[in-house]
Amino acid sequence: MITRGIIAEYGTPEELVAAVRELRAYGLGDLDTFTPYPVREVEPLIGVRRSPIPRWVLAGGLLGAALAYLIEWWCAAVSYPVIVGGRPYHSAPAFVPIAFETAILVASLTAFVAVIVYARLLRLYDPVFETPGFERASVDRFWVAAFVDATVFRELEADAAGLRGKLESAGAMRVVLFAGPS
Amino acid sequence: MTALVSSHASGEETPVETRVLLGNPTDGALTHELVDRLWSPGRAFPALLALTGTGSVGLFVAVVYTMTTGIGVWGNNIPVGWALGIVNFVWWIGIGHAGTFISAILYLLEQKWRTSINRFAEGMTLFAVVQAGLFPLLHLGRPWFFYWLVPYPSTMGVWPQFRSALPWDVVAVSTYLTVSLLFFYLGLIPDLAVVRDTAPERWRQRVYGVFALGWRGSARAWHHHRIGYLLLAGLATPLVLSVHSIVSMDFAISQLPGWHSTIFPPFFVAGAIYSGFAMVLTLIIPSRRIFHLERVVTAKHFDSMAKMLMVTGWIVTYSYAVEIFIAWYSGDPYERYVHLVNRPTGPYAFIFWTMLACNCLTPQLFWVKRFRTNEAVLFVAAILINVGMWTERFILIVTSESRDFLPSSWHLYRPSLIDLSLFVGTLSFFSFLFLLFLRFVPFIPVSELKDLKREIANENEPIGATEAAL
Amino acid sequence: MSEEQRRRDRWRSLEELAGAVDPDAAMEFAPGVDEPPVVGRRDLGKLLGASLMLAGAAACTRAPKGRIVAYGRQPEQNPGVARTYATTMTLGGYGTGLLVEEHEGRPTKLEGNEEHPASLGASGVFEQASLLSLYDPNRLRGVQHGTSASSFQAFARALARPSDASLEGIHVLLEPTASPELDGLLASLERRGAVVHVYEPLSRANAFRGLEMAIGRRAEPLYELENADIVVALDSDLLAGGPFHLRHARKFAERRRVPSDGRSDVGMNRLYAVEPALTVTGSVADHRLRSRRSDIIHVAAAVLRETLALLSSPPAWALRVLPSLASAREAPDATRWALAVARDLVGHRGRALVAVGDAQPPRVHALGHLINAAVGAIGGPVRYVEPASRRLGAHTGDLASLLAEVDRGKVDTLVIVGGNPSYTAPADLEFARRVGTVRERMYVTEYANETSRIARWLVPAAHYLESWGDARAKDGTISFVQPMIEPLYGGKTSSEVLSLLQGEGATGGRELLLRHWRAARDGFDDLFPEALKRGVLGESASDEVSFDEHKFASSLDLVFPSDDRRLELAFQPDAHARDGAFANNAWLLELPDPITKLTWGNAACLSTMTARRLALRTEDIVDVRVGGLSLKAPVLIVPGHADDCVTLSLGFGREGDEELARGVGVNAYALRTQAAPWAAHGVDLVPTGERASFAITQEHSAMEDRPIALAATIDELVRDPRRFADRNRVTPTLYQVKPGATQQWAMTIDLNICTGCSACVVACQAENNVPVVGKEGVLKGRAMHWLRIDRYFEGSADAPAVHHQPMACQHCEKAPCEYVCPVGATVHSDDGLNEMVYNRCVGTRFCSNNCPYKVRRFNWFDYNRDKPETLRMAMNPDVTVRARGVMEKCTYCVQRIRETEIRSHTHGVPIRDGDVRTACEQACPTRAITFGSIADPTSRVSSLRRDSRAYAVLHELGTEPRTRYLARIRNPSPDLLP
Repeated sequence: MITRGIIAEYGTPEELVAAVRELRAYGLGDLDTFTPYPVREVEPLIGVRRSPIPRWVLAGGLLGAALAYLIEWWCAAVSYPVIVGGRPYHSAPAFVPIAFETAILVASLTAFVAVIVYARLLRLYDPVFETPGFERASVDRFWVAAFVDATVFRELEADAAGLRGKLESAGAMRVVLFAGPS
Repeated sequence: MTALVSSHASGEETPVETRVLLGNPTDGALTHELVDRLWSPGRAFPALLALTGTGSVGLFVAVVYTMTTGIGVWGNNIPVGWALGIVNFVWWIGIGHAGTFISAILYLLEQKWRTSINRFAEGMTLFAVVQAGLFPLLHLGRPWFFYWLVPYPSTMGVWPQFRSALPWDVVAVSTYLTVSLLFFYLGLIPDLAVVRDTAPERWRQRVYGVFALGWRGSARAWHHHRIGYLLLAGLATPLVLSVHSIVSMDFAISQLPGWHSTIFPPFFVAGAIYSGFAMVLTLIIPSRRIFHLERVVTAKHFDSMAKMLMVTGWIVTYSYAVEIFIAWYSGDPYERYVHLVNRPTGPYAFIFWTMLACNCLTPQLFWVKRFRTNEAVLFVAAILINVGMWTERFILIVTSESRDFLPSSWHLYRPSLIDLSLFVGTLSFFSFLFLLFLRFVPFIPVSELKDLKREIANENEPIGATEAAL
Repeated sequence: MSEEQRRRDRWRSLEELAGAVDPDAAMEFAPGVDEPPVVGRRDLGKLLGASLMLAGAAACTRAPKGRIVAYGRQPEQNPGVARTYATTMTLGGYGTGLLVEEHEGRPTKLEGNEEHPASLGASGVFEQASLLSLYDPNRLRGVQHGTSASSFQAFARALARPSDASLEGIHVLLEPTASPELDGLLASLERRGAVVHVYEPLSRANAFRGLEMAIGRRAEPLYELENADIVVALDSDLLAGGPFHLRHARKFAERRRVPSDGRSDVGMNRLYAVEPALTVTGSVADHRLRSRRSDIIHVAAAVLRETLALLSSPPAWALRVLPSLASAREAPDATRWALAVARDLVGHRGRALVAVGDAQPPRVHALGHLINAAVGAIGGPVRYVEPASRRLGAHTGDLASLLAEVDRGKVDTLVIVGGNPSYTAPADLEFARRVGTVRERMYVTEYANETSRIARWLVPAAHYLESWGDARAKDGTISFVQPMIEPLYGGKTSSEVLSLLQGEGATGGRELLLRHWRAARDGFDDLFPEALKRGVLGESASDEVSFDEHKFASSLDLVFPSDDRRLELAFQPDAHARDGAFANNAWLLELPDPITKLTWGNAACLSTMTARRLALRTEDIVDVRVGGLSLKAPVLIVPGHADDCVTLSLGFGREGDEELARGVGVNAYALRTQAAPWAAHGVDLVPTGERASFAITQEHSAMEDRPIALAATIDELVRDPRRFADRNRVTPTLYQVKPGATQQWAMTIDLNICTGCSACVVACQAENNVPVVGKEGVLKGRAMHWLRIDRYFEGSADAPAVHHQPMACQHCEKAPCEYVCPVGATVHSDDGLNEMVYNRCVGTRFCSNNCPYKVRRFNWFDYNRDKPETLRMAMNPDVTVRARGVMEKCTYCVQRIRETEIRSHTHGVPIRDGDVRTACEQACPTRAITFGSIADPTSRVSSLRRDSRAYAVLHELGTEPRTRYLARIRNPSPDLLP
């Protein structure tokens, strides 16, 4: 499919926030910003919802603990019970450390994978990369993009100056309309 | 060497040693200052790499010799079944604790001074744990069967024996290595993007681009990244405490006088962080000079780390005292012999007193503010503490084993040449890996620093990691 | 087919097989025999003496010639099932009956023969270790003439004489022997003009001559310790050395046991010892007086003096000796001591005895016998019998006379049979130099050693396990030697060689034996099988001798040596090498000395005070100089050693071709002269500034006031019989997991009768294929003995109490080693064994770290890789050979347990108490070790665990060891209590 939209470059986070407000006022909903470090103020403005990752991690932890403890119990008390130092076959206290460590392990793996999934990583190409000068998004420039469908995009093309003016008056160093496959 | 206090006293409004970032560079300037050295390594670099590389080869030779000939090439004997192998293991794994401590716990505690040194410490952690992991493998009589400690389904139908602390150890250490790596990498992704975007040559851009996993710095990505990072920090915190607790149980679950002690877990954790910070200092002080990091590694960092050394040093000292007191108070003749006779006056007494001097006296230097920020003093102190913590493990393991219950079986331990070359070898290999790390990885977290810079800039509305996350 | 029928078939076929084998044919040895062995990088090969490989020997069965008869009733041959035969080992001329365990034609283990008076089922370190000597790859292979290999036929041509020819100019030098067959053979040679000489370095000449002085005739004294309440050992290690020592120990122990309630009226015996250096006997004595060897004559005289003084009616002969006794000048402490001893002796008339060691001059022996006579011991605990042979107790003069003949050119042919005279002869005789003038010098020997250098003909001697023959014990009992295996290296017995002089060509040992006995006893062929089967010839003990009470002591002129306060040098038989005959035996070289725990060598032993006076430390190398002779020896300070005296053990410092022996220890013979064979005076110890290093298995001798080897006096036990109880009760526990099999194995070790003789250690090594690690290994603290004997000194360094404590895996019910093993390689069996699963072990050594008894042993290297083929033949096929990198330890001889279980299963008979005997238990001369099941409350081990002396070592740890110890009880004389 084709991703279309308008993207603007700013020098400071503050200008970025202003620009986001402008775009919302203009009525564009599907916004995103690209910044060298998190600009937390924009998140509520562009409607970032609370991350579901914690729930996944909790589940992962519990799963890991249960799995580990079951394996220990089954090996020592069910599959091959043998007298060891006169200890009970099911030596519960001795089984705790491994269960705990495994909980951490699985939880951590879950967290990592979850971030990659929710942050939409592993996509090595993105249309916005085509924007000239976008490479500074990770250095010292703050970009805001509004993604629109074909009709709106045509309207934007028709009346470019209006929105462009708004964005530039907010301090944009560059405003680009873009469309590319993704 | 001149103290940092004076070297940066440039009449700014706030006293220097509270700043974690000096001057007010633009984001771009700061970025390039921190990243550009990846394209232009220092002149000393190849030489150092060659030196440590040679040492690593030596390590490899010693390992092969041990594996092919038998563990007998070490100095171990009965009663001293564990010796330098496990001493080095505990020492290295201990060092590996500061990294996660700095990144995770200080992160949760919102310590600003953590930022510029955390990746440095994380790298150190990873490579230290790698060294540590080598020894439990090597010290086996039949290393090629190490996987029998893992419960895999086999035709033998037998399983590991989970009442022993050694399988706990396997899980703990491997978990620690994995989680440290994830934590390290997750924090690294945005900076890899930075390198991707600033790299001069195309191929570098491609390579780093792959590792950056297509990071675009989008607001949503930042949000999830922050949450994930916070969660990993929250998970790593109990982990870092549990790992060395479990390592301590390798000794504590036994009934050997001098090992069989309930104070071990906290005692070991404190010791680990103690030695970890010492190692961070040992590494960062020269690096700071070589890579001119005065702007981002400031007196504030040294001051805080020195204070950490004092705290943990005191916990360690207190633990020594408690051990000895309990040994006396218990009235147990074997415990008493170990703590009141063998260690202070026995054949290894010299090492014992070295340990006390290094671990208990050294941190007392830092009552003096000037010393807390003086690179020379800090460096020497850090070395002394590294030595002290190594001797602590030696005393703990070897004295207890060499003289236990039946005097008839008492026997001393002398390390063999192979023992020593293995230790030196791991030091080289560690340095080797660390040099590569400095060469190819942005070891000062650029994005976090820029974030921090902004945060400092508008102190009036502080944005804490945790608060923002919720 | 009847059992008998089956037997005959088997034997016939074996005879055919044997007939097909010609031991002398060079073809017998596979190609490559002459090539040097592959010596591995870890020079274990060198260590165990790899020289020539006997290719394929491990595989092939070398059934002996002639019919040999199994001991007792045996199942028919059955691959994998061991069979047992009786045979006899000869040491110092005296035979000890043994049983040989044999797997597919390979002797793999030796045990004592219960029917033999010298063994009573027990065996000592030399008996146990002699198995390894059989397979020693350093043994001489094949006949040599000059430097070139030859054949036995060629040798036979050189030695053989027509049956009617005179044997003038032919001299035979051999070790003492009581073999009736050989004795007869020698006699016949002597009749034809040959001259027979006997020499042994550890001669019992003094004992015979001393007794002769006392009773006026030659006789053999027998000590029956079972009838003795009081035993006085004057420089005599009668519990661990010399003929009948196994019997002595057994009978001594029978009077040492204390009943559970510790009643004192059971007549527990009391042992006094006087000696220069601690011996096994001295270490278990209730009272020990340290005294220089040359001063003991004064102590003996003092005891006799006090004894006669205490007697209401002194014997008639007392008048003859009393005057001279007055001039005894014993040390002041010795006087008090002698008085107490005399009181005890007189107080137990007829139930007390004095034994004197062979190293004491004849006069002291005479004094000893006079004391025995005075306290009515003779006919009671002491009996005098006809000597088993006139060729026992040869005097050094015999060797001197041979050399005199040589110098006079009277010797044309010298045949040396056994021994190693070039090495063991007194230094001042210069044996090696002087015999060089003899035209024909022939030497029958097991090794190419110092003496083989001076011989032109070398003939390999047969090991006793390869020989037909006979022997007599100290009491005269006759037993037979039957071969277990065809000679590995074409060895020949003494009779086989000497019979060549009878002019009938080469004759087999069996034929010679039968020929002698058929002539000696009619109907012998009926007795023979039974005798072979039982190992003894019934009713063959010697008669008692009669002597005239009036002539008593008439030939005794009691003069005391002039008082010489200069440093004295005393010679001792070595605990490992004896007189040097065992110096190439790896098991013995690594066997810790019972007292010093020294392995791989000997030392010049000194007392603390003397060392201080001479400013010497342990491991200083000194130049020992006496009468123009000198020797460099390392100093070892030993508690309880007499002052102003240094002791050196014989048998080390070898220079022959024995690879292990070479360069180990120092050669004390270099200082030994005819005049002073046992003690020399005027010794100088000159420091050289050099240092040696001792491989000592126990570096720390103090018990540190820990409750480890518990002891009490009999009175203390009577006063408080429950004094050990709190170390024997079950410790409270939360864990209720218990093994549930019908047998629950356990062991008790009675410290009261353990003498520390170490026979159990070698027995364990032989039974369980325990590797040898060499001096470097011991120095590194890597000795592999599954069973060790801890020795603790208590009290002053001058007069220490010595505690021996055999220590092996305790098989704890709550085993600390088990729960720390990450792979479950050491777990508990259902019958209560702490099992070690070798092939599951990954070698973390955590188990050893957590073992409070430190009885686990680790394979630091592959200790069996470079083992020569012959030594592999000595391995017990029932026991796994451990790989590199795994832990090992005592298994309670689990292979024996399982074997018994299988037998009881196949024959459907339940296992009875005593059916399973561990190797250590079986070897123990005193029966200090008891093994059995505690599931059966009536078993010996169960009742011993209920004994008031029973306790668990480190009981407070709650390990619930299955091995329990019985505390040592001493029986001190009230007169000598401080």
